[in-house]
Amino acid sequence: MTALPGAFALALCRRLCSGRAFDEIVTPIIADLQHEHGNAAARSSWARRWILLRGYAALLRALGVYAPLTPARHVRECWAGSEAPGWQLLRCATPRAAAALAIVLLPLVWSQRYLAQRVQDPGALLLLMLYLMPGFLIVAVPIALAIGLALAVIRLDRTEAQTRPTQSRVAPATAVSIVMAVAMFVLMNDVIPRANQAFREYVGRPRDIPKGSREMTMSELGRSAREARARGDRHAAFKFDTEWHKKLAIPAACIAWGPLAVVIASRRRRLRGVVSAVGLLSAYAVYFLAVRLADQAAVAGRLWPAWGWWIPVAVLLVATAAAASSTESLRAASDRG
Amino acid sequence: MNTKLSLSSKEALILELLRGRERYGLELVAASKGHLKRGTVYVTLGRMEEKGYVESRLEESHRGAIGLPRRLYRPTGLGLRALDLLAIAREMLTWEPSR
Repeated sequence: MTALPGAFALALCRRLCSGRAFDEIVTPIIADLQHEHGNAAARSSWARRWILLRGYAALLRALGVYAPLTPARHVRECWAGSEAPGWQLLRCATPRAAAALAIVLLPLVWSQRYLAQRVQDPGALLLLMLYLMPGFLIVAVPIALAIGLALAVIRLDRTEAQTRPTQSRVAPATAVSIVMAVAMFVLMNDVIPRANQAFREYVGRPRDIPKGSREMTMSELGRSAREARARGDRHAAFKFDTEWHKKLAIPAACIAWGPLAVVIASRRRRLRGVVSAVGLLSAYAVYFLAVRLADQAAVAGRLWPAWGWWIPVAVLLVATAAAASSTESLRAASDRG
Repeated sequence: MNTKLSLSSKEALILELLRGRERYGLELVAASKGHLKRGTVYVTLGRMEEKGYVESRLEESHRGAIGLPRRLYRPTGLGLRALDLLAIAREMLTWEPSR
């Protein structure tokens, strides 16, 4: 017995498309294709092939039209009106994320306590801490926001009469994470280089200390890497290239933390808040360790800079996407458990 | 609730073709004489269903049916009203005073 035409495309789309796209677009087009093909049984094989070709072309075209419309629809559904799931999640997550940020920042600020011994003037000390703050925020904001979102999901699940599907929280969490990623990019590319250089000049006193790789913007890094390659300084070129990729890879990784937080927090279990926070902190620690090791390997020239920074980030993004796509079944399993 | 009726020319054509009878997507494409494309008709129908202009059901399966059941569409009262309003608006725009 041969399979009906379109069976493979149907199975593939079932995995790749949203439920709505599958029901509204894919199933009717495949149904049309199968009927048209079945009714053409008496016609030549070329005519039947032509029907298949037109059917698949229609499917591709429909998905090509539908795909760009989907994010716009998601945005509208998540953020239209003050009671939309996006605003609800954001309202609930903001105070929690702010508290988590304060807690995560404390040890980072504490790690710079040596400055208090060297700088006696409180005003100068405050200024130096302000210069260091953007670097702290790069580390603290993603994990604080993730913890805030996770705690907000748990809180909303407890207070709402009817539990929302996890996907309705993943979409706004992803949107928040994208905004955070843009902010992180601005921090990485514009604010941190200036703050680092200001710190160095304040501590070192001469006003025109040459910039190191961490004090450069992406355009300056690209130029320095080209110059280093031209004079045959491979080590310097690797250092500049690594820093260049870092400025893109860290913000890109931020996109994963929001949806990952929602997925982890959506599973019903005992001590859900604590387990979610510990789970996120553990995931962040593993990610942090991976990028540190990859960064060192890239600067030392043992790893191509792009691979060094993008492999851990790609693993994180793919794992998050896989977890988010299977989140409903995980939640159902934990509900049964 | 603030509801705004909006009807594109493609949506109007689909409602016109569906007036008085149920049809499935490919039938609409064939009846439109090239104005509707088989690649986009279901995207438009999905949007119209969301707006409440059409409703759909799966065709009943019968003995010897081939493949998946097709989705049949028919206009709702709101859809027909929007179409009538569009026809009135068009008529008013083309109105000429008698001499």
